[in-house]
Amino acid sequence: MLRLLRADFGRLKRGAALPLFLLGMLLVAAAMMVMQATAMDYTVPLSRVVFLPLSFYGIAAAAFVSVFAGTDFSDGFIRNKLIVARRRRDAALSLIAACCAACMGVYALIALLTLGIGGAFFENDVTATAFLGYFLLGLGMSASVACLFCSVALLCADRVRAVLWCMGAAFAMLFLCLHTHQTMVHAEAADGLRRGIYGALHDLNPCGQAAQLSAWHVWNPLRAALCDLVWIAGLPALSCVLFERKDIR
Amino acid sequence: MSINDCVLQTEALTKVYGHSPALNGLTMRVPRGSVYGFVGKNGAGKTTLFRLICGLQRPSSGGFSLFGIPHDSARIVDARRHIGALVESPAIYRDLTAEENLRQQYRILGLDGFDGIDALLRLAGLQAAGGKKARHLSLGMRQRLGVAMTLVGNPDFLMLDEPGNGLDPQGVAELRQWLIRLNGERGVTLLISSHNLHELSRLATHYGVIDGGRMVREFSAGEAGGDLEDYYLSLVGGVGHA
Repeated sequence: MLRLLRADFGRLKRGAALPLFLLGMLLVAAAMMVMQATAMDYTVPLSRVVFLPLSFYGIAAAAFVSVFAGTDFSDGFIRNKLIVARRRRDAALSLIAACCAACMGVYALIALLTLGIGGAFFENDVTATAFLGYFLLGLGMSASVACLFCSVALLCADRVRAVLWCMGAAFAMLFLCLHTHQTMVHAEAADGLRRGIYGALHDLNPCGQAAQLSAWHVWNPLRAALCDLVWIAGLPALSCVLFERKDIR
Repeated sequence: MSINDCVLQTEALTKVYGHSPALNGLTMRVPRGSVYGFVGKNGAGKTTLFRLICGLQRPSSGGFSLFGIPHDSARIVDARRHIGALVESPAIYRDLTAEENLRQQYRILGLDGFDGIDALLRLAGLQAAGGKKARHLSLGMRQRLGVAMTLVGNPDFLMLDEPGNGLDPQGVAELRQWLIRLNGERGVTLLISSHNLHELSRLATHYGVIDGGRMVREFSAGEAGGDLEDYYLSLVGGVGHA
């Protein structure tokens, strides 16, 4: 497992996928800050800027993870890994771990950069404790995203199919999040059961968590963290079981 | 021939995709120290056998043993660490350089240091192209890199699926010299699948002819006589023999 992890981290460092993911997110963050800073008709507080780039995080992460994990299959290197792996799941888990580390790293860098740069241009209403809480929740969200898309890529076992499925899932999650977010906002005074169901759906969807973070308003942080745990623990376990049975070409 | 004399032994090995069998009760023996030419039509099941041995797929029924270890034993993983395999196409990352690809192979094998990389690049004739991304290498160069990758960790058994693909005549001759040296000097057992019977006849000591997922016949180079192609066609019912 450690040998495979070393190889996957080595490829993260040398391949083009991670720098492109980071560059894409940096451009989104810069564009978001410029747009907010030049909105002359109202004053934007820092809290509404710091996690704003996360609106596009799901799509960017889907592209990165599907390309990074899918390349193992399209270039055939997974064959070399499976020949020497102690267990098949080692190859799957090391790939998931590398994707998680990359996604969490990019998220952390973007959030901290936006906070640092945004602090100079926007009215600072961000407290350290609130930021830390939301930042940690964002780490969980980014790991969930990585687990989700990497599991999809592993089961597709092909880069083109992985990109199509992951991007499709990312857009579907985005639209679902818009729907649940709208319902949560409009049903502020609605009955508890409906709010509960939509709230759980919103938290279960990593894009829904990203939307809450970007709005600096997380309805139920504990539930969101639990949903992240479900993704992070459940998906790798499930994908390992399914990957174990998969025929690799 | 006892099981210890064989590096690879399959017994009624079967692999079914959907309803169509790719391997249909294949029984074969690859003697230790031999150069085994594995011959058959397109779709005969050669690559499927390679995939099963490498653990990329599971047999539907039957089994095989590698270095005497049954495929369903937990120790098969240790046996696989002694093989090098080129299955269908070179298993290399196209966005990494030739040297970085070799480093990746060293990493997954858990080998300390990268001492042998220069020698492997020289062996593959890629010393000048070691810094080039694999996607910018020619088809033949990628093939040579793919074969070089199989040599990392000094395997005892090399499985090469169409290793001459994309190689120019000089590359084919160099590859042949490599393989003869590996077999002669280091005693590496070779299993080579190829459609180039003329080339194969210059290095193989044993042959197996597969058709429709079944072993038609195993024979030694001496039994094939002068012309391997004629002998092969007589076995599978080719032109003039049907």
